[in-house]
Amino acid sequence: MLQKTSGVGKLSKKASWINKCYPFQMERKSRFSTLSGIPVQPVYTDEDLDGLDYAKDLGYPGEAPFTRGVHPTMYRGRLWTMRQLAGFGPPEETNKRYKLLLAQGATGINGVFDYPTLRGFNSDHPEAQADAGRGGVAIDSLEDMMILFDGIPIDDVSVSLVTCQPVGTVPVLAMYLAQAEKRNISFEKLAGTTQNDFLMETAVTIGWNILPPRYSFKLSCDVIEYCVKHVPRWNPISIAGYNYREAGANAVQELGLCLAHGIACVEELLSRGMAVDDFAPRISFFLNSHNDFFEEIAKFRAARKLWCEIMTERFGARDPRSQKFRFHVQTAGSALTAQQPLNNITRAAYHALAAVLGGAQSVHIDGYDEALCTPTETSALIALRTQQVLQHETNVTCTVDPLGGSYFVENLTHEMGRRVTDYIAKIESMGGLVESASKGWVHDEIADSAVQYQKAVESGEMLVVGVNCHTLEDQPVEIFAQPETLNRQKAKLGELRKRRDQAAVQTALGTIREACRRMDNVMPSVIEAAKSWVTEGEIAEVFRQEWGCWDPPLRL
Amino acid sequence: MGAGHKRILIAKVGMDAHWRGAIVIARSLRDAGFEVVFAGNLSPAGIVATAIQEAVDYIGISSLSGNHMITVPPILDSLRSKNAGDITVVVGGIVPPDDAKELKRLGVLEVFGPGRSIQSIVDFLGQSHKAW
Repeated sequence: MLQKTSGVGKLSKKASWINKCYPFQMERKSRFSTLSGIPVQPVYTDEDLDGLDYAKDLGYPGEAPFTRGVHPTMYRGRLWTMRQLAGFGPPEETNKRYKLLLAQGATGINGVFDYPTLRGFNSDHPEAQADAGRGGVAIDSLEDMMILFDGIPIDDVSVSLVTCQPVGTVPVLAMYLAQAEKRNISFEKLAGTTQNDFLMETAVTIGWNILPPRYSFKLSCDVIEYCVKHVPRWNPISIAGYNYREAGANAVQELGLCLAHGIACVEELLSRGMAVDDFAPRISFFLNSHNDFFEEIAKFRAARKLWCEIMTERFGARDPRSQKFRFHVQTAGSALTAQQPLNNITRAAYHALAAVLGGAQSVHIDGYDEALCTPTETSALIALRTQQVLQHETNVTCTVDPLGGSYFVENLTHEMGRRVTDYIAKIESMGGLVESASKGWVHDEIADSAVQYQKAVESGEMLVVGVNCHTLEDQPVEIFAQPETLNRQKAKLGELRKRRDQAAVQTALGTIREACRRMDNVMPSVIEAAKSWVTEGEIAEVFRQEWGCWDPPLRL
Repeated sequence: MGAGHKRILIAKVGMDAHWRGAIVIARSLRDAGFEVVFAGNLSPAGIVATAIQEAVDYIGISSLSGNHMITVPPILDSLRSKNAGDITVVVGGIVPPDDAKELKRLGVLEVFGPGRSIQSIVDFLGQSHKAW
């Protein structure tokens, strides 16, 4: 901790003050701490910043170590991108929601895909049918992708494809690129992001028939390698700390796993013969903004400093863009309640404020009905309006890193950095992140924290308004009605299978299989397959056949 | 109160991959004295087969994706047709009130929504075991 060491037997000024004014019985609780368990003192003073070196630890915005922000002007130059998540049902319906959000002032697309698409299954697969169109939009082929982005200016608006796991990222991105090609939009013009996180597949959201970590990770690095070479404005990976947190991780674990993941990617791409400054600028991150306001801000600030140190000291990155921790934030879905759901508007606004005070590049605010259903049009619009209120009315955008120099926030940023560094060292001592996931350590870490969080709510140590205090009788709220998906997707798939060139399909699948066997980059062959109308499920099935499925070590 | 060594299968059904609720409830039930079989993701048929093989008293389905109206009724039907109607089915997760009503009409004993305290679920399962 940053703290002045005082002489033996002599209390510092702050310690004397605490002894005088803060006898134990005057406080409401026996222990004050952040959500991740960092003790919080009654007051912070200059004593808590002892050892802090402005140039080394903070620096100016846009300059290493970027603690204060990745751009010199931050929101004075350009406001964060309002990137509201949207996706449900068949692509025809989601296309309408995208257009609604853009018409209402959203400045980026944030497309989420249904469970079968994320996991690499067609809508009409027997095990997938019940989930077609749920949790996101159903994409089975290039045809669906063309419907999804019909009339959307993808050469102008940046598009985030929330593809979660690599097994779905590879075919979905291939279809997106093929769609751009059909519209004569060159890959150089495409700005956007794919999530592409192997922990999503193997540890955080485990589904049915998943790839082993090693192969899932390989696919994610294939996407990075391909995009760096051919889609220069694309962020091919968005390391999904958000989802680690939603599954149960605390703030320290969230950031520790994120950075360990970044390290694993850099090492893999270096081993493929690439130079660090050729690919590192395209690595991006996705973080959660949860209930503990100052801890979250400290997390965002510490993330920038740690990534800069890792990239420069460990990997010798010279290009400042390689050193910048750029991130999207989503407000915490797991912090929202089904009880008195309108209260979630308030919660999400605080979460978003923390994200902005922490210097996020883009933000999604959750709909108030998140704990009940997919957002209705009303709740999606209120979430967007909450962003707009924050941008236009609060004036928090006037100066960069307004909390920089706060005794508390700087101390907490330092402590967060220290704990995260220790956590990364622990992961590395086990052989790195891919190995830690393979052994089930990551699963245990997240599950243990999830249980601990629930226990704190159960015991009343953590108060949740409307759940364990200030409760009311349930009131009915509008529930989103899922549009018909399965039959529409089945009909399109049936037609597609009839009209496509079967020989071309078989040739394309054979080429992907060859790439898998040789452990070559699969992206070129998958893009060709997408153009030959090979379906998403057919592509992913090759990966499963070639590499097998994995029994994940998710234990009681 | 008290679980009296009751056995429960906790599973997710279909492609739904959010395991947080399932593992939290599984661990809590184990700590409360239940014998818990944690199955991860299974198909409706897989859930029934595992439940019969493991001779459980309860099946607990954790659902977040909204697939419950498609996946849970076949589980109930299949249990009946296999003369395993003494296995009680409960559901937890994001289930809109109208769906919860319908699932209960079809034979689900209880639907536990988000925010429901674990202790109240443990108490409920400890006390009630209703064959239908």
